[in-house]
Amino acid sequence: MARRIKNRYILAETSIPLDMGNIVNQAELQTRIMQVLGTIGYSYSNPKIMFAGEKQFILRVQRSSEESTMLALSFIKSINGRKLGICTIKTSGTIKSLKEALLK
Amino acid sequence: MSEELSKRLGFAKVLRSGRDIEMKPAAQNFTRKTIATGSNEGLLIKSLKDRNTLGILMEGMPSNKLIAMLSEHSKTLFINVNSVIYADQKQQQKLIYLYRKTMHYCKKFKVDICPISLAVSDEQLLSAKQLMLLAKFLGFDGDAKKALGTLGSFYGKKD
Repeated sequence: MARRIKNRYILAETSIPLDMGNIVNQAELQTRIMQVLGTIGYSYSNPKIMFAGEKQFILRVQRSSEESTMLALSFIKSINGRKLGICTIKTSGTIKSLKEALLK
Repeated sequence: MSEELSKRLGFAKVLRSGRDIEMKPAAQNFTRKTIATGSNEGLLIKSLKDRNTLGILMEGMPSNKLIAMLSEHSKTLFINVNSVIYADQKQQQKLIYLYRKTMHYCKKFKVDICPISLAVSDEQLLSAKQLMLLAKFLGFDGDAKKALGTLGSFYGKKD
């Protein structure tokens, strides 16, 4: 019997306003995560941006690699030549609770 | 850092170097609660005897003697987590190895460890969760949440 893939959602905030809805920025973020985690770690994590605001975004990852992805986000220092820091604010099993925590 | 931001990052209170806690090169007779810095082991050991010294900031690999003195005087070893993140790739690997080795000895001698971020700008800020994960990654085995609150417990104490 196949097991259901269980995901976790991470609410993260950048130190500078950065449009994470932009495909170029998303691709760069995924590249940076892969540089830290490696190909194998990245395949276990399978990160994807589900929602993006001005400074905050919600990242979906697989449940087993939630901690390693949060650690990888700490090691990201720049995206597309712009220096920034990424803080993880909250994690949850549902995207609904994180959307409520988003800054208006 | 505003209180709102510190709460959002998961901290009850953020302590600032220079305002809430002093960080000075190792010497005796500190007037306020101070974290001793520097690489001269002789001076660091002398400063541990001072009542106002909270502990030492790790710079390089501390010797077994220094770790044993930390344990004897019940002082804390502070670890700057941002030094690992903002190092070059080659240096990062060396630093991670160094920190893990130090953590191993601190566990052996039962020394308290406190991870700190020493953020200079907004981009260097880390949330409480990230600090705990980084401490675990660097080899911290114990109660990471309790370790983060070490400085806060000193801050609230009255002499």
